[in-house]
Amino acid sequence: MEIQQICSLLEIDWQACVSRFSGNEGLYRRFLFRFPQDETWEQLARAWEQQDMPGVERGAHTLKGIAANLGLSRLQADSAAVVDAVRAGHTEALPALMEQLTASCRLAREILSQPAD
Amino acid sequence: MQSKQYFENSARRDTILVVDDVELNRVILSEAFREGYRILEAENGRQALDQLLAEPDRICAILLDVVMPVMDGFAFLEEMRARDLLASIPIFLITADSSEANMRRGYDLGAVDIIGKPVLPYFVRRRVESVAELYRAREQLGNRVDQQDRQLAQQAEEIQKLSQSIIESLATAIEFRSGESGEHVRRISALTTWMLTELRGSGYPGCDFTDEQIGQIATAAILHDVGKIAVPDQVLNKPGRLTAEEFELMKTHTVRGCELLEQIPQYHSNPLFRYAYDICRHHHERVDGRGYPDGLQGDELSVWSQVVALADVYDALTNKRVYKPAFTHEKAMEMIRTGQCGQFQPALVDALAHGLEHHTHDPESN
Repeated sequence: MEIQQICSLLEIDWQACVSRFSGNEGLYRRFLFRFPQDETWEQLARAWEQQDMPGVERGAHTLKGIAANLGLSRLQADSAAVVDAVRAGHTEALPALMEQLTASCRLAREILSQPAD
Repeated sequence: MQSKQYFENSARRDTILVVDDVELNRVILSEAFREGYRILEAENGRQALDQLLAEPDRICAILLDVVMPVMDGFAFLEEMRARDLLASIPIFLITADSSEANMRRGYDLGAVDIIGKPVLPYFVRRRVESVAELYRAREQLGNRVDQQDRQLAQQAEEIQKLSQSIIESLATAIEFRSGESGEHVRRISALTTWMLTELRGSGYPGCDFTDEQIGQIATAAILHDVGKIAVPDQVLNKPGRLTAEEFELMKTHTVRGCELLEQIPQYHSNPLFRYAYDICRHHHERVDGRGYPDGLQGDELSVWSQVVALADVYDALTNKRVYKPAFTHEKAMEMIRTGQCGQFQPALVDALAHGLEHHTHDPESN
């Protein structure tokens, strides 16, 4: 898949991301394509399964930070929504928000697992 | 030479310590400072503290995450404060939680700035560098002031030593004319110091001197016979008894000494010369009014002039003169106590005895 295509699918602003890595494009690429191996998502899913709310908050918070640094805007927004809901005690909204987050995370993992040009 | 050392000292602050449990965050911050800095990374506050304490003089800024396992950012700040390190190393909190309460806590614990996540490297670098530069400049300035303070103190001490040695040289040159070595003036100075210290210790009236004042009086004591420069050799060095006329001439050394001191420009501003004037003029007075030149008695005489008068008599007795042999300490004290050299305040004579006891019987051993 071409970088341009990846960017449009995952709403990535490539230039802004490279500048976050102080212009070191290789370094950004390395961390971006390493995202599928990151275990934060598994930790979050496990916490959600066990209804461990502090664990859900911690996992979503970490995921939000990673997404922000990698420029995965959709993922960042969806994890932020989960963090906010837990903090505000809006547990009734969580199932829908977790579903959304699961979808955007799965999409990112899928796309970033394919070889890029 | 010292300033170079200080320059090198502050130039050694070349390291940024990045503290975050997430590798990606550390990588982004490290990358921002890779050019021009040495980077240390830590995964939590505990690791960071160990690295900091290993080389506290090399770290110019700390970028600190808040939420971390083992030791979080706030706990790390408290450790820094306890070790008094916050004044020398600026800490930047890097946090995603920019709530008012969180930011306030960070500032209250001593962070210099709080930077929101996700970070923008260019701005982080600008913010960190301007503060680090401020700390560096302040440290250099502080070092320079310390160094200059030390230099000034050293120079003041050198000037003090120089003027002391000039006074000693002058006094020794004059003593030399009457066949004395420089030892006499040094012994008078030591005896004066010991007696004044004894008198201060026993609470004798008018003797609550500072160490500096005792030092000034002891130096002034050296000048007690400076007026002898105006006494002709044949009188000064006459081996036999002086005629009445010759004795009158000899007695003028007191007044001539003060006249000489009055010619010294610093006379009016320097406390040392005020003591010296009094001592020159009155070191041959006696407490019963039978001394010279003014015939003062009792409280009319300053303590320091009485002390130097007694020191002078004791030293003359215990050392050989052209007109007499050296007496023993015991003999000298007996002659003084029985008034054979004029009347002295008994308390002063006691101070002389105690002072000599405390410093052995040999004044030169000091």
